[in-house]
Amino acid sequence: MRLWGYRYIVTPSVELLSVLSQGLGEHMQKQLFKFTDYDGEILAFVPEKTVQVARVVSNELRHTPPPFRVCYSAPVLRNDFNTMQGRRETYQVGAELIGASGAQADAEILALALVCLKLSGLSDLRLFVGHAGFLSALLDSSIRKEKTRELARLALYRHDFVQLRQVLDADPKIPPKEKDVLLSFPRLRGDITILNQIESALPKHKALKAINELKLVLEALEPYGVIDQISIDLGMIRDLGYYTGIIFSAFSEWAGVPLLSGGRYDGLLSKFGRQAPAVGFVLHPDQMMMAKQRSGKLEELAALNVAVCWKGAGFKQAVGIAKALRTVGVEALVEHSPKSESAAASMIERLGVKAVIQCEGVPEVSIISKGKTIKVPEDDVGAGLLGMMSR
Amino acid sequence: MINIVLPTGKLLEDSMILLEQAGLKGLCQWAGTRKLRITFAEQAISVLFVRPRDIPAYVYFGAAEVGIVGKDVLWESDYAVYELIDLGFGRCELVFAVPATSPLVGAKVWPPTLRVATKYTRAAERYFQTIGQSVELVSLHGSVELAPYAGLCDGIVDITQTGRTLAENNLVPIAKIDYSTARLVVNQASIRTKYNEVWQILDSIKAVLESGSDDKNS
Repeated sequence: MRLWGYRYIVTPSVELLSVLSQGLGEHMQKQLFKFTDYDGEILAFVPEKTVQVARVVSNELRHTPPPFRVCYSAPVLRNDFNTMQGRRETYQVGAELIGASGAQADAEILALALVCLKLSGLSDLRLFVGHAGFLSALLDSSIRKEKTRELARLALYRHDFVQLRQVLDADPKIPPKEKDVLLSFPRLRGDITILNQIESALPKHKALKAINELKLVLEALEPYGVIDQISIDLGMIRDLGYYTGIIFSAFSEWAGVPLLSGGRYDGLLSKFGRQAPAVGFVLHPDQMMMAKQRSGKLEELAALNVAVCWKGAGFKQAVGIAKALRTVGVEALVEHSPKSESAAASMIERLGVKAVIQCEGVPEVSIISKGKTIKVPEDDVGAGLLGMMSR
Repeated sequence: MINIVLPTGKLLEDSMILLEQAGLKGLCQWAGTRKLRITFAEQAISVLFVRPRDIPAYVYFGAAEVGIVGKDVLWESDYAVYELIDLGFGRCELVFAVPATSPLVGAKVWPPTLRVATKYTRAAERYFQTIGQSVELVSLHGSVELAPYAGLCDGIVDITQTGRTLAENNLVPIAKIDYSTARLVVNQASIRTKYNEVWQILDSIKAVLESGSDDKNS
């Protein structure tokens, strides 16, 4: 992310509840671990980082002109036994582009998200992109009764399409075209043709503003060469009070939950007294590890390079050799107690190193690797190692 | 491969008939056996049998792409899933019932606070909150009908299909809260990453349901 000009930002793990509650939904506020400060104020462990980033940009950085490109990686805590699988803490990595609006800013965040996803090593990841304004416009224009609209919104938010049908059926004034589109929400995904389909299904409709914005974003994504990794997902539904523009999530067939999610939230910063558009995303490394495990692609920890063992008067020699190896970039550890040659050889397995060097205080040392042992002069350890590794 | 989880218990038979009609030929021959997993190699579908209350977790975490589960289970679940089709069978009602001798029968006004025992604490809490009735809830796991007679509570919130169990225990429903039927649920990732496979299953199930309702009409 730093290659893209995003500056690393560190914010505290605890925050005043009064700050967090300005940006978090009711559900998330119930999941906070809370405690009191020395002066009786209520503090909470942060359950996500975006609210704090907004707080920093609005307060500490209020004299710095926008835009801000910031990224973070930090632990977050949530009290949600079921979806956290009994854990309390998880890790989040994210990026926010604050003070920039328009298709190019949205495209930049999407392209950056795809770069991060690629680093995960999961080959089937796709980014699904929708627009919060599409659903809002549909609901506002098609449902006149406030109460019905609220019920429909709630049913959609819970992805309860059985309930949604009941709510819509109960109000005969809802135009059939809009009703059809709302009920087909789980199906509204695919490539750009889905946008054209909606355009012809709802001519001159207010909801087309969102469709146009999505088209512009796709256009701005062209130079990045990533369109083939993106699906349009008009049926995406997220916390409707929070997101104001594009919304997106990344899914893999190896995970049941999103591995990355984000969107445009132009309303959040004004809650901290600084009006600014913003777009960003957060990655879920824990979920990614789990998906990789399921896909069978989880690599083992990279092996350490070399362990230097010693016996008798060999300790000084061992420290010297390790020091020399480190200067050329070889990771080298020195064993803390004397080892016989066979004990030294067993260190390969026990420590997970590629080679063991055994020093006994004589001019020649042994290099043990891949089941073989060679003896080389002390000064030729580097060349000997290279020779054995390349075999 | 698509995993479909079915709930053991009351909804199992109808669920198996529905899937058999939707293309999983031979599924019903396994009814009553103790097999936990049946694989249909040709359609690349596995059918798994799990406890009803475990279905939301299987689907939420993506261990199964598709599931069939009673709405009564979803009321009490934290796991977010796509709820796409009302399958119609397994209908029952959630009611507030009290002993036939209780002064609450026919009462226009309920006391300021009620004591209520139930297996459905969330659905009950939501209901009493909506009508503005203060309530103390006792969470039970079975034989809820007994609770008022043992002096544990004023009444119970429970599901009833025919009303017989309530009547046998001399309980009278005094409020209908909600109804439950079997629902088809789908994982939020699968509905995207396995779009074609999942919709093929959903469409064949919808086709079965629609042809069924035509029969009734004709």
